[in-house]
Amino acid sequence: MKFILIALSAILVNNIVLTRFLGICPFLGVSKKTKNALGMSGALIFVLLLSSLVSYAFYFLVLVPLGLEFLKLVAFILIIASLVQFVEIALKRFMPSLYKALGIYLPLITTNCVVLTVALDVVAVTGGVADYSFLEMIIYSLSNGIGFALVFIVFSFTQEKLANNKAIPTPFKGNAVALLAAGLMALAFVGFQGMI
Amino acid sequence: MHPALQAILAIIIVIALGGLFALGYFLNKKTKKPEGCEEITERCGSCEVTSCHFNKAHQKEGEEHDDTSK
Repeated sequence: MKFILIALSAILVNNIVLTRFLGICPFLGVSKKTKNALGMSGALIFVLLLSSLVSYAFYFLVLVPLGLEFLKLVAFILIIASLVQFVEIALKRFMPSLYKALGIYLPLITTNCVVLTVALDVVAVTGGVADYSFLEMIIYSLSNGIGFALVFIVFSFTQEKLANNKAIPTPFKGNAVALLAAGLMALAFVGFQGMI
Repeated sequence: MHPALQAILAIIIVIALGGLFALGYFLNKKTKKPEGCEEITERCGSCEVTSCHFNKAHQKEGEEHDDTSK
């Protein structure tokens, strides 16, 4: 039951894009076409899961035993950046077709604050006890990735409609109307709060 | 643990992770793109993120903007 609650919370109720306003840069910039949104979402879910796994292991196996918990922010930034480089190399060498589909989005993910925030969330400790067990961490990371993808893909449909809409006044064109649409979408997601 | 030793360990960890990133970046630059992926930037048309190194179209726009500002 706890896993379902974590998943529902991360995907719908506390969606990381709409409640914490993270990942807005690709959310507005790469969602002009649904195909791009799908590619970016796939790449993000993959990197998010991988970076959370590595960060979780590094924090509890290296930083905590050495008493260097304060180093987590700097360490996670470097871990994520390095991880993305190595993932890109692996895709280039062993999975060219996947690189063709997702490779273009990997540099964007290096600086995506969703990845960093989830990595910081999963190592949160309350009263000396980790908030998430290993399995809960995986569910939480995966759900946040799915939540991001859901919002991202749905928003790309809206963006495609907005791009071809000639009824929008000139001052509202582009990011202005996109932000208004994102705000309305965030309001719609507030409706899920009664679920949990 | 002694605070001085802890500080030294922290510096070592940061340098090691920085080195790991530098190594990854260097290896990534040296790894050739697979066949058919050379023109991967063609799909950047609708992306507005100009900081991405893939996005040559936006880089050109940035250069033009710099020229006009001078």
